[in-house]
Parts: sequence; structure tokens; C-alpha cells
Amino acid sequence: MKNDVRLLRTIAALTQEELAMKVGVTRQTIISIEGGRYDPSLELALRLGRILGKPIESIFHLEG
Amino acid sequence: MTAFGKFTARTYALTNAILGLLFANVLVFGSSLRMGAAFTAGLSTGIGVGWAIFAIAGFIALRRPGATIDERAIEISRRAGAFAFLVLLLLAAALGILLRSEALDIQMSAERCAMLFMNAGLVAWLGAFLVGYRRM
Repeated sequence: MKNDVRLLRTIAALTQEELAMKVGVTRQTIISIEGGRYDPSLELALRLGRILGKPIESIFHLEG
Repeated sequence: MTAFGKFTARTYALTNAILGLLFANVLVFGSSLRMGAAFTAGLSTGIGVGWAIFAIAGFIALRRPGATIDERAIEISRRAGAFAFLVLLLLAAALGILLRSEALDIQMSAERCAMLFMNAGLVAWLGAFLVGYRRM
């Protein structure tokens, strides 16, 4: 699964640390999500969507 | 979402009290177990260290949810646990064959077997967790 978390975070002018604090995870988890190495749970994806101001289907995309 | 997701100050205090009681119980009545000084010392140290880790991690988690153990760490830990279990199953199968082999004639006491199992499980879990933490 691909995602636009890095792009949307940059647009929202948030650092990885700030985003991590807002959604209640570690910075390492944000790094892994942005790198495509970790797919977040539905709850975390919804939290990310709320902070980044986008619905989850516009943040996360299925490959292929 | 986190290991301490539903964690409140009341739950934290209650769990600390229970762990403290367990620790005090082993210290006071540990010698009555008749399991040897090393066993009792290991048991009390294990409970004490576990309590300390819980107290510190719980305190940080209360102040900042997700700062210590978040869903990714739990997922890595779950996978490491599954890997360690598989390693132990394979080790048990291998030891079962090797120790019964008349050609090899390997002798191993029950205590050594148990120690080997515990250490192998711990090392397998820790190794898998570290690899997972770097890769995921």
C-alpha cells in the first residue's frame, strides 16, 4: 500500500515528531509509514486523516 | 491503538499495587518455596525488574500515550514472539531426535535442557525484535 503521508505532512507544515505526538505514536512509526514499510491500523489511519485534513482513501492507495 | 491505550491513572496505581504485593510476597515467603536460593533470587529479581519496567513505561505512557509502546512496536513484538515460538518448536524437535540417538550418545540433564530452552527463546525473540525494528 502506498501513501501520501509525507507530502501531506509537509503541506501541513508538521515535523515527523509533531505528527507522531498528535496521533499518539512514536516518530519511528511515522518514518516507517512514510517509507511504506508499515501499514497503520484503521484507527491510526483515521487519526492521520483527521490531523492531515484528508479522508483516508485520499492518503492511502492500493498498489496495482 | 497502544499497549496502554485504555490505561488510566487508576489502572496504573492498581497494577503497581498488585505487582508490589507480588514482589513483597516473594521476598517474605520466597524461602518457604523450597526451590533453592538461586530460584528464589531469580524469581524475585524477575518480578522486581518487571515491576520497575512497568512502572517507568506506564508513567511515560500516562504522560504521553504512544510515546513508548505504540501499535508498530506491538506488531513487531507479536511477530518476534511467533518467530521465537517456531524456533523453540524446531529446537525441541531437534533435541528430541539428537538426545535419543544411540549413535551420537549425547547426554543432557533436564536443568540444562530447560536453561537451553529459556535462553534460546529469549535470544530468538530479542534477535527477531531487533531485526524487525530495523526493517519495519
